[in-house]
Amino acid sequence: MSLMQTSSAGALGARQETSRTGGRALLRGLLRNRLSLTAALVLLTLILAGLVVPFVSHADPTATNLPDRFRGPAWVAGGSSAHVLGTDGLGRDVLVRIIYGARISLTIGFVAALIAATLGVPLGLLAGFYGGAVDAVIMRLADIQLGFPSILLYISALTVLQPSLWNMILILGIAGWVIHARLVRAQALAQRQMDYVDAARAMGASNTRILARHVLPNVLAPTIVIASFSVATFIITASSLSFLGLGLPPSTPDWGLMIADAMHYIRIAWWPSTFAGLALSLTVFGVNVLGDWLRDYLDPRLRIDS
Amino acid sequence: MGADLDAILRRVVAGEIRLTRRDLLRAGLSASAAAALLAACGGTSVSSPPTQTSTSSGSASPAARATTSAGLSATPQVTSGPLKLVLAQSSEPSTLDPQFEQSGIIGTYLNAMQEHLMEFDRQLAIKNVLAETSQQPTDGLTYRFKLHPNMKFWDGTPVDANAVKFTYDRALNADNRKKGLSDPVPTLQGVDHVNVVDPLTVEVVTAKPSTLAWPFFCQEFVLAPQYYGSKSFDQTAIAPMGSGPWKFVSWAKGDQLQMTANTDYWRGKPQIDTLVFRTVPDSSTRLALLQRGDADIIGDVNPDDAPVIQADPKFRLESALTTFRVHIGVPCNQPKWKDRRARTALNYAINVDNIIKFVLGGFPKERLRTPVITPGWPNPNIKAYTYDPNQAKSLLNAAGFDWTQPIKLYTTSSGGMKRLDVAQAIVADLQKLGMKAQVQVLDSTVYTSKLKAKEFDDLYIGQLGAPSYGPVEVALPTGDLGLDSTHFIDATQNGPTYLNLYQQVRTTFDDAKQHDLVNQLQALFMEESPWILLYREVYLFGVNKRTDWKPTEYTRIHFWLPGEQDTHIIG
Amino acid sequence: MLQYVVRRLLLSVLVVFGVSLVSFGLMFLSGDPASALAGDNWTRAQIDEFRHQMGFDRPWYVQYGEFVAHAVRGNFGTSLRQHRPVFELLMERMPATLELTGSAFLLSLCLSIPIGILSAARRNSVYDRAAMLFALAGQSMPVFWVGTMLILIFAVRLQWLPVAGRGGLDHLILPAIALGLFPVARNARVVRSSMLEVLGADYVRTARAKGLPGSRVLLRHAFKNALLPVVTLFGLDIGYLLSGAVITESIFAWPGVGRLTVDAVLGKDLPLVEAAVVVLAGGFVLINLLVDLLYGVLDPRVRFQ
Repeated sequence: MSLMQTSSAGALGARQETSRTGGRALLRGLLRNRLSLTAALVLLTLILAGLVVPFVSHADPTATNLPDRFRGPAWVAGGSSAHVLGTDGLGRDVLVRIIYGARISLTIGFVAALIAATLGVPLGLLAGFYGGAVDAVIMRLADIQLGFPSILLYISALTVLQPSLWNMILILGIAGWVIHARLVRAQALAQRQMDYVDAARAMGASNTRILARHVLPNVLAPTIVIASFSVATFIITASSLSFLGLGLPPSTPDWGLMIADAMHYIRIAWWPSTFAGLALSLTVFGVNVLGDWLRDYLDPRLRIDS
Repeated sequence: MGADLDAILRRVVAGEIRLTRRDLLRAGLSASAAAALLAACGGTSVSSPPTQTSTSSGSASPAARATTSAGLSATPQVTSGPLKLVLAQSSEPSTLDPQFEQSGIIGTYLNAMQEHLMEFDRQLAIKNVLAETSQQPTDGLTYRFKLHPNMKFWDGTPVDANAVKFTYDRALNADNRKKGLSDPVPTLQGVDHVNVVDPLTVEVVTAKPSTLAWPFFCQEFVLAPQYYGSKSFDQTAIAPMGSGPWKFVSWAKGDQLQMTANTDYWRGKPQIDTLVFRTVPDSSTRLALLQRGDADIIGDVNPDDAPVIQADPKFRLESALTTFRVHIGVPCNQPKWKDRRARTALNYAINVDNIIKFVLGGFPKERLRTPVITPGWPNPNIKAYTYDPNQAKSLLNAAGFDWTQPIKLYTTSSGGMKRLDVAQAIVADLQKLGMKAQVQVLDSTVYTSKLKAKEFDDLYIGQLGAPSYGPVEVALPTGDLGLDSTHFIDATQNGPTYLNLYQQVRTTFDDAKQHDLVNQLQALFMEESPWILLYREVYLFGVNKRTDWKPTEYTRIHFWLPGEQDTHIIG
Repeated sequence: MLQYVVRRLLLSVLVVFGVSLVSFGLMFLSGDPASALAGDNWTRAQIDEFRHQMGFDRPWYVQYGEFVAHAVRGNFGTSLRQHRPVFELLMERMPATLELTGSAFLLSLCLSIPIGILSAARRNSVYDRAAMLFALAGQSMPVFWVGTMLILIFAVRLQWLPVAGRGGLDHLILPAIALGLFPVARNARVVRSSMLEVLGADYVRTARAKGLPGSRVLLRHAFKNALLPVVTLFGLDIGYLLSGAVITESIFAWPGVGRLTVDAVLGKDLPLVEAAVVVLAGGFVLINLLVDLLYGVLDPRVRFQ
């Protein structure tokens, strides 16, 4: 599942001009697109809820209350206003868990995406810019990574490292480097032949300087887009691992874990999995829409006839 | 005796009608098959006393028993085709060679096809199966079995003393063990050699006197010498041979195992013609199979789904208390748990009744009182603990418990009913008390390695089962049954006394003395609390009411117990 | 061309070798197989003896060397739990896996391309919006949720299709949809954006300006070029489908290679894991080699060096 969006990468060219347009234009573009705006607002709300609520509320997402288990949402018979979205199999409040879960799930998605990009971009730059043996080694490593059935990689790595939030993030992130490396390599290859690189070199700039000042900024835009897509993928992959019983510690208020856990009693209590699933879907939706928009925005050719 | 004969006659009549019809299609063998059936059923009257379930099977007329593929077609059909029963379980054995497989699941598969010398019945009492008579040693060493005459494996070779000897020789053979054969029974029994006295009389001789040996005869499947002697291990792994009521047909790994009725079975022809075991890992999918009528029995039902089954008039919920004692293992060698009062406090600190009632749907019935569960053996003077957090707190304070230290509860994610939820509920109780407790989930192989290497440095949830027999059950905390790390009783103050008394019970064959010793051992165990006893593991089954099948406590899945009729399709 | 293929094949061998080394290393690090494989009733002495007998107490490179030496001669060894040749075990399950991944792949091929092309052709229409909403939704639902819901709706409630297990074509429908939904959704989006990019290119505009009919421009000029990234993606999909099928197989009780392999990883069945990883990685590498060759057919500019 780490093999996502590789070729949406292919669809992206290097856009020298885009990275210079600046934040204000970005914001203006966002405000013009209603769908993207909605997505951004949804994401922002979730992030804010996840960040703020844990500090202002005393609710405990792991507090169990067995006699209170399987209480329906407030508007359903048997529900109470004390638990607006009901309770789960151990009597924990679903709403509280979803709000706290925002923090966990978004951390998984964003941090893993960050790790993947941090590893993949430099490796891709090196491979593309230097070529030769460096390129060969890095690209063979990438092939090995891609050839490894990803779920098996996650599972065996998790049994080595022991399941925990940060180990899961680490493994997802590390396994995600290939897409970035491949994409950046292709860009760097192209950039290497550009006149401005020759010019810079003629002016005596070092390789490091050329890479950092000229090549990197030009490959950054597609990297950001790819990263935004992989946020969603990582969240979903993490939930799949939880479903297989290999993910996070059981009381963690993670959306994926909540869905996986509540699938076991879906016929008795539909609400825990449904609401956690809604939160997950909204987030994935939001991140994808933003990613789409980001790509449209960074890719002027797509705006030609609109 | 009259009722017995009546039941048999009814079965013969029912069976004959079905048999002739089916055989008409095959055109030919009907007469001889019916004759064979009569002969086979005649043989059962010796060994099958009337059963509790015969009332339900007796009320079924041949027409009513016609298969209507589980309620899909509403119109009752008079034609009675072959009767088929489908069982869906969450997992399957990795091999069908009983001497190679270590997991408990294989018994649930092979019970339909292979047989032991003896078997536990529903009351956990030991009953003869292949053995007509069985005798505990008078010299402490020699177990003597006289086998039923005229029993045959499916290939026609006799089930005799030689087969018993072959079974043990194969299991003890050093070359076989090098190739991965891992049957623990002969080693646990301490078997030295097997004597063939005459074709139907066999003596199993142990090296030292050991009361452990007896119940394990209920665990060693008797193998067909010709088949298992000539086939390679990769052949016996996928195609078993046996003497049981159903014959092996095919096994598609990960999918299903098919069996067909053994018409020559020595206790009579089973009523169900085709028995299918399906492997369906997901519990929600299994329930869907039951609801669709694609499975007649589903195992490992999630207790949260129990109301769904109970609410449907087509199904009934069956629960089987197993012999697995779910407990919290306490590493008594660790400083924080060295003081006995700290361990006793844990007994008061956890609201086990609430866990049973809410998390487990009330199915384990009650909190476990002593580690011994076989009827007649639990020490009557031991009272179950009750939830009392204040008592727990004062005991912990008296033991000088450090409330700031982190407490871990190790568990695996699978392997028991709602195990993760139980672990979370336990930790929540410890947190309420003021402990810094948390659940630590381990991969099951890591967990087992830690268990076996005695590496647990803090609390862990464990479950241990043993054949139901008092003197064997008190061996659980000693490591004599393997898993020698699971107990930690040797690190306690009374550990040496316990081990000493246990050695006595191992060599005492006198019933009254045995009871006395087992009682003393239980008292010592509860005093030291190396385990916090929780409850007996339960297996829940969803059963289509068309069959009268019921689970059992020891083997869980059995289609023809000693002293009973075979499983019937009744509607 | 031939030279290219030979070189790629050699590199593939290298890659498969690397994959097997990594998985061996991970398995080696993840704990002692002897105590994992031992029965619950074994004493420690028995476990130690077993460990020595099986050779698990030797250094990892000796064990790995032995595996490679046997593997190159086509002998992958015997399963530690099932006691049968592992290659046989894998091949038994392969048809089920190919059936499931193949149909999910076909599903994604047959649905995502038309959806994507139509979306691009009618950009911002109601159809486009609906299709992209579907694509986003399809990408945001975990496969276990989709699978369970499909069973509850189509097998339990409506009783249109069988619940689980492998059988006739009807048994294949629900698992194929559950597994294929994600690639359908994702690929539809990629096809769309790829098409949009091409539609904006000069030659397409030229073709339009020349007055060629819209459908012809769309298929002849635009789609052919938009296909390039899509082909790569479908090649990568094989990897997702082969390993991503694990959950689908669990939910639909489908007797495929994925479940077999995951059980082997969890059960420390080293020979089986190694063989499975080599076979899966080998298949993946070969398919992607084919994809690259196809790439050359589609785009003459790509030269094989």
